[in-house]
Amino acid sequence: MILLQGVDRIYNAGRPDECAALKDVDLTVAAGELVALSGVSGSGKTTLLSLVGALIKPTRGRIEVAGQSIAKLPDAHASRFRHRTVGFIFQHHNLFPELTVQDNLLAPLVPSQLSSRDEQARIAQALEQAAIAHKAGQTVRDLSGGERQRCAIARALVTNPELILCDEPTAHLDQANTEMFAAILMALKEAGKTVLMATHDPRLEKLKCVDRVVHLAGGKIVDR
Amino acid sequence: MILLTGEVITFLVLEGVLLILLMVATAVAVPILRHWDFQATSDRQYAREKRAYLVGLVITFALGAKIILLPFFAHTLDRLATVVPGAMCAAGVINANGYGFPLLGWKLGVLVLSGVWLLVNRRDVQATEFPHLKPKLGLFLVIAGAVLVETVLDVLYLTGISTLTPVQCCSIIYGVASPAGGLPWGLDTQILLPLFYLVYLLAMVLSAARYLVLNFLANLGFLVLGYLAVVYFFGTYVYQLPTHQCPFCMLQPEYFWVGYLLWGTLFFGTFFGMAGWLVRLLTGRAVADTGRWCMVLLTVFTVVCTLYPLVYRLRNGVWLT
Repeated sequence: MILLQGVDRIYNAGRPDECAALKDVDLTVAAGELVALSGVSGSGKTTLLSLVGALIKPTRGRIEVAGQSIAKLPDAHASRFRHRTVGFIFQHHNLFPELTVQDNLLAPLVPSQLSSRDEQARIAQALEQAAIAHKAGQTVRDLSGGERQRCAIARALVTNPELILCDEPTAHLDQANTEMFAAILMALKEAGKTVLMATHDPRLEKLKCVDRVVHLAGGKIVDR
Repeated sequence: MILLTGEVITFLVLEGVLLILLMVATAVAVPILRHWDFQATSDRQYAREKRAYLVGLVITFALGAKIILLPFFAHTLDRLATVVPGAMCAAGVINANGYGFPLLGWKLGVLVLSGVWLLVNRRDVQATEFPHLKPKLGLFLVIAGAVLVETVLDVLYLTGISTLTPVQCCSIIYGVASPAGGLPWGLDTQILLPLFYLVYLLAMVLSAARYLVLNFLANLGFLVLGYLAVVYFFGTYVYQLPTHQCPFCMLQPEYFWVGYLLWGTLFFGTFFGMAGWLVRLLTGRAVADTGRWCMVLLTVFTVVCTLYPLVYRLRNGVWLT
């Protein structure tokens, strides 16, 4: 599902503030696998997720996701790739605070040009999966941190992507919401989704549904 | 003063805005073209790729708008006939000074290049490796230069139209006694009409079979034959007057603006017929659906042309002579 070979990502190359976020990274993730990326802040976890999600491009190396080479994909094609293949759960959720939960889920469906009935069916299913159906009509601004997180999960699932990328999904969650997130992860795993999750939360690393923990330090994979 | 006409002001403002957009696009396109290296993975190359996409959107908008502006230009000329003494339609206005006809020809040339650019761009953005970026931007620089010349000609032409000096009307310019009054090359309508339908059929067959070079030549021929057939035969049925051979009067409401339909379908139809080969010259591959568009538009053109004399014959029982 995911293949990275010899991947470097250098920010501000050739400038005094040059920063090598990833160095010579090789990583393979099979379809249906749930892999946790662990490491301290600045170890390159988010950069790696961004590369796999075609949000940024590598300075060197080969990246394939779902059989498609994405390392040099032009932006318009990268958008289509993300829409078709990837669901993101961002650390800060990146929701539209003024819109309702339902409308936040509608936004990623717009390019799909589904019928209104299909859109509503997809939204209802994603809300159910993320256990946030009871807040469908509420604006995101009025939700608690845990509810926002579940809204973000529902948005990631609404396009029915093969790959879910999660960036520090429990960073702002209490114990109860973390457990709820763990249950959702388990359900995703059972549904055959591939999940790549950056976290430094040891509770998530120890979950039974996590197949592998990959440790990053200084932009390199140090332990698998 | 002619420049204070509403249509002229609108036209010049729009042309000016589009020229500014295209000049800005040129300033962005030149460094992209100079430093382009798709294999490079530097931040600068990635920034170039983003700019290339953005500049492509700006150019698409500007050239698309220029294509739409051509019928508006024709409409503007037609409206100016009410303030230019002697002019009965756009023919008199376009002949009001020496810049008119060269400007019209130049505009048609820019339109062809713009159309080819839009097709090449479409192919380029559909691919994942910007395979046609260099020929695309190279062609754009030629178009940008041509648009600059066109805008200068626009200003020279429109500021050079006098509202005091009488001009010749279309009956003089295209009348049967004028130099343009008869078919060129010794043709007459007995030869022209069979040739017209024959080349139409040839263009259809070649479009369907996708013989690009032959189709280019057939459509070039049909462009000329179509123009002559409308002016010297079908147009007389539009006007129901055998002595009136003006290509511009049919743009007027009295004739239900049919000129826009006839000239539009002829020009765009033959453009699509020719574009297949032109695009292949630039990109190495033809565009899939140009032949289909050529067939649809030229068929509409030919059917509408043919209906005019047939309906006249059915209504009146005679042909125009």
